[in-house]
Amino acid sequence: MRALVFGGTGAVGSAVVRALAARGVSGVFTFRRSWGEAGALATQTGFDGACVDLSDPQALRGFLDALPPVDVFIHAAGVAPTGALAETTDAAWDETQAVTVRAAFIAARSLVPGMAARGGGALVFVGALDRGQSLPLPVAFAAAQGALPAMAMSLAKAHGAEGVRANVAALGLLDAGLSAGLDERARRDYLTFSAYRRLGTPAEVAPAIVWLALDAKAMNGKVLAVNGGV
Amino acid sequence: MTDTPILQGKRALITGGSRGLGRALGVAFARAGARVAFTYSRSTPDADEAAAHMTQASPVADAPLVFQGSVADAKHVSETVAALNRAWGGVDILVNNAALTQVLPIALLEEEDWDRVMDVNVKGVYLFSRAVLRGMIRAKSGHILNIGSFASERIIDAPVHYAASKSALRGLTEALAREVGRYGIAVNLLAPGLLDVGLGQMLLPHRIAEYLSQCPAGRLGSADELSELAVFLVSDANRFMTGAKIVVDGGL
Repeated sequence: MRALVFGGTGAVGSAVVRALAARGVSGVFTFRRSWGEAGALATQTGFDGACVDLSDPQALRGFLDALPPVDVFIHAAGVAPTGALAETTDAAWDETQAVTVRAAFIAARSLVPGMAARGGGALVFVGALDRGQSLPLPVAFAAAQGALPAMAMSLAKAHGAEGVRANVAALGLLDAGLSAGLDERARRDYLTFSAYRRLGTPAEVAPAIVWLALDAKAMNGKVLAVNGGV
Repeated sequence: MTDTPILQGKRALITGGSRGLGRALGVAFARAGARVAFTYSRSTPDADEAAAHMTQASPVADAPLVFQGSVADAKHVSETVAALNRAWGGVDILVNNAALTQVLPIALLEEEDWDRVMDVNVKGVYLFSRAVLRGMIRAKSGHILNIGSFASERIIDAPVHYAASKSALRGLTEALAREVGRYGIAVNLLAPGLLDVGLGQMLLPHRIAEYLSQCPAGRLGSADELSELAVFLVSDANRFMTGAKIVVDGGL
């Protein structure tokens, strides 16, 4: 089985690549800048690393066109813009949409036909927002995150009969990755209001993401909340 | 991957384990290395057959502990959990699976039908959860998995008392997850779509056909595949998921 992981050198992405490798899965991960981490991860896991700017659609299409078939796609790359409405620039909005949403769309458009032709496959978008949640998030971040469950639902409806599954793993606050950029008050609120009253770790959430990709065969178009209870 | 079964050493209690999903859960948990106990209310031959399947599935041919009674009977609940505490020293995993399903239009639904479904499907969950939580809180760990239904998620043809009881489990799951999260105890809700057991066997064929026409998977779920998913949810590999509702319906 072969997998493609976007954002492989991120905190969550690298834990996902390791967890996939532990299940005997090989494949490719993308990274943007972290050449050192990418080399180490490739050596540890047997995955190949590819430097791809996910916000550049042409570069992304070129990368995907040259990619050997994959059975599993995990989108673990993300952007976490901060700031209130008035401070959110067009550029921040665009970059967040490009990396979070458009890259997932371009990957799905490129990969789903091959998955369907080979009898099925799985897409997992790693996100931060369950459909029903009410959280004080920056507008650009919330809007991009909100697109992921809708996209998974649409892909499930259109391609579920071909054996293609698309789901979202909606993570709570972790002690690493995008969560690390969060302001102190939001972190305190989370510690107060979440059921576990603690931050999660990438190593804790990676098994759930891999489970969603490899094992949860009857789950499609759904959001799996892995958030310590919020 | 290690070869140690994922539930090795875990002590699991499943309510309503003689038939259907409960039996499949017991078999999957036993196969995954857990010690299994289950309750059942009526058919001893079914319970005997289920116990034989679970023993066979266990890597060490461990026979399940079996208790007869209604989950809505507080005496049965406290005696069952006390017996497990004596036999095992505690319970690590509780699956609240026992449920009544009765396909009736509301005009024919008598007050006693309503009460019976609410007693088994909701009060039973409260009673068994309360009983095992004392030990789990002391141990500062444990998993409670409630079995819900997609009938609480979608507007579908489901009997209203059944849909109401399964919706109640959403609130119960979330509030309980919040209350016992500080002790490291996970409480989650597994909400299947129509399965090859339970409600899926009771609906009229044209209702099933309607369902399948909307379901991208194009088939009913199987009790066995649901049970394999449940194994992960109650295992130590699931460390940051609580208060979650896991809807497994083939993409409906």
